[in-house]
Amino acid sequence: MMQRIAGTPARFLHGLHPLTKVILGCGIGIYALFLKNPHALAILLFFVVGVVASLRPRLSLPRVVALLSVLLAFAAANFLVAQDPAHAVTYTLRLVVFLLAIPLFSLTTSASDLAAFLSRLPVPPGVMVSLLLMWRFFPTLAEEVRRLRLFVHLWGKSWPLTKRIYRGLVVPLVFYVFDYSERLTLALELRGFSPGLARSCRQFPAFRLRDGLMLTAVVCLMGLCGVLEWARR
Amino acid sequence: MIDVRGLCVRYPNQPIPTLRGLDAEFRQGETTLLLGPTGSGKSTLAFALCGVIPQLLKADVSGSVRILGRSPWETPLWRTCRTLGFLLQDVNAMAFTERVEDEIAFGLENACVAPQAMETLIERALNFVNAKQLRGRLLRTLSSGELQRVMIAALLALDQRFLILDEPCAYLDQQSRGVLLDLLGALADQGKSLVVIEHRPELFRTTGVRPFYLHQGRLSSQTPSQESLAPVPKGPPGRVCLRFEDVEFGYGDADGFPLLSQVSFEVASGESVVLRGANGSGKTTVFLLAMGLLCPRKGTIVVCDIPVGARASKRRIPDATLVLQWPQAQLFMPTVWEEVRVRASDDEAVGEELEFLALEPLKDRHPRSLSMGQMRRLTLAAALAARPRLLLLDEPSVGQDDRSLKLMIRRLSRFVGEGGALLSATHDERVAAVLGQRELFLEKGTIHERKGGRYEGVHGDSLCLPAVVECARGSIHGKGP
Repeated sequence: MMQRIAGTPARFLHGLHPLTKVILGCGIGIYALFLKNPHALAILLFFVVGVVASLRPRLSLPRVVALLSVLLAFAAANFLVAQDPAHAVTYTLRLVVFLLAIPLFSLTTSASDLAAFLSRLPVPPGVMVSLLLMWRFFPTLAEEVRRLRLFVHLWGKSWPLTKRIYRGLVVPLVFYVFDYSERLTLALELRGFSPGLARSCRQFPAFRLRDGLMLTAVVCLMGLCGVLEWARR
Repeated sequence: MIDVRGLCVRYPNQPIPTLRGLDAEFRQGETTLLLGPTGSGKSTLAFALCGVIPQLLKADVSGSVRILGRSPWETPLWRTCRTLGFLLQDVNAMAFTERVEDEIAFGLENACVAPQAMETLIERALNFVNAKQLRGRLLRTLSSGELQRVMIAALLALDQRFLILDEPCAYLDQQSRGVLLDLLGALADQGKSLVVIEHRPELFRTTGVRPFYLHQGRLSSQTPSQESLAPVPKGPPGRVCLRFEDVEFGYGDADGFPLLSQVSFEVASGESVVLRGANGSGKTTVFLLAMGLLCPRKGTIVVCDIPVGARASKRRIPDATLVLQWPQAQLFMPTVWEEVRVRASDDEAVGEELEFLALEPLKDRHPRSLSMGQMRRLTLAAALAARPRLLLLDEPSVGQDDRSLKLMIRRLSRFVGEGGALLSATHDERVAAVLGQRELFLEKGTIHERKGGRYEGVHGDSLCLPAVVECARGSIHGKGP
């Protein structure tokens, strides 16, 4: 959904350096796991939603309603377990930030930019392959979901919604996830890729001023959230 | 040279080896055509030749394989793939990047080709497979045939000495296939060694190839004669089951260039119609529109008396079924039997379809454990078990050996004979000849009907094979034959 289609203008996020996006995606996602203050989490969420909005994703009303319903159900389940509304809100916000941050940045990073950047990182080959697998997982999964959602419509309303979701989406996705690392490894190796080897690069992504600005903005934001979380205790 | 001696491969939990003491030599400057029924071990042999077996796919192997004296089983796969290029049957599984030019550049980057040289190599590789116009496109927007051409270009750009191609013509249109066959001939002339896995030996009749038949795990140079396919007879004439009237459709913005414009045609009960056209001309799009999975910009689509154009509700059209060219996308149930049962009216219909398409022995297997050809037969069985009035069939012959194809055609003959309406898209001339009581040709967004051996309104050069492709006579890296 968020990858650029030929001829469409690139958004701000597409032009960022892969390193910036890895830091932002993983940084924000992991940072959210440490925050307990709902206000701090809300600020972080506000920022992430703002970045999502800058990509102008196509969202239909039923999809928004479905997403909100899932979140409400999650919050309700948390409330039932802990009997504490603040706890439910905190965990729900944390989940949303975590689930949005990493896919958001990985969906806007092209595979070739990522491979070019990772091959220049001074990290062990195992770590590099793991990063590659993790970062490519979300875009390929998003594409598979899009395909499956299209074909499950062939069943129309002759199947109940739960069956359509379970049989048409969940089961094929489980197979896809199990198969994912094997397929990607095969694709990489058949093309002569090895994480430990030097490779040339057609267009190496450059680190630009906007990367610096974005990183500074996020560090400031995280600082503000940190103040709310820890300084006011 | 690739030298194979006493090769045995047995997959875990399988009592019988897939390959049994196979001996072969694949020499440079030679094209070897590997034939054999579905499940005979053609792909297994290809995987063992390049080292995917046993390095990535676990199996017990014995004997030896040597590529220029080196064993691919003991050499890292990436190193073997610098000298041996492998095109998988499922080209989707090979793609790593999002964009066509990035995909070709990816292999070049791995081979440490200088960035300055890459643009020329990408350009030439795309020219070789007639895909220059696809350069800026996203891979996910390509048709299967276009993707296959791009992945072949990605291999050619690397200029490897050995090439193993698993059904390289499966999704290619007539023109692209002609270009590829010329190109393969030129590559063999340059001294490359080519191993081509194919179900249609007739495609290679004019080129100097060495055919091998793989049966019961062993190679034989004696190939069985091709089975003849009986044309699908006309059924009792009836009502129109599918009607397109001035349909316009385009992906992306509503004011963007339409892929289809003023498309009008009908398919009635008791007739079998074949839809043909170049890769990316919109054949699959026509099917998706007919099933209401896409919404046309203009025009009317009526399927089994239900208008589907507006697609206000995502209701199923009970009398129409679509069999996609990617069978995995239509398999949801835990066993073969249940997969057919879920759409069938009764158990009797399930048994009948499984028996007809030789799936009865596999009825307890998980659908995703089947071979590509078996999966395709299963999706057809499931579609027919629903007893539809209209069947839309996308590329039915891909991955099918002669026997399976004969079974499918026999079943489709019965379907049409009983008054069913069949619309199929295929690039396989043999299948088009037996299924095509009428032939429609999709070109530049509009449909033309074949009358008296000619397509009315179609440019002459669209349907004939190009003459010898001059560019195929030089190698990607500029060396002549």
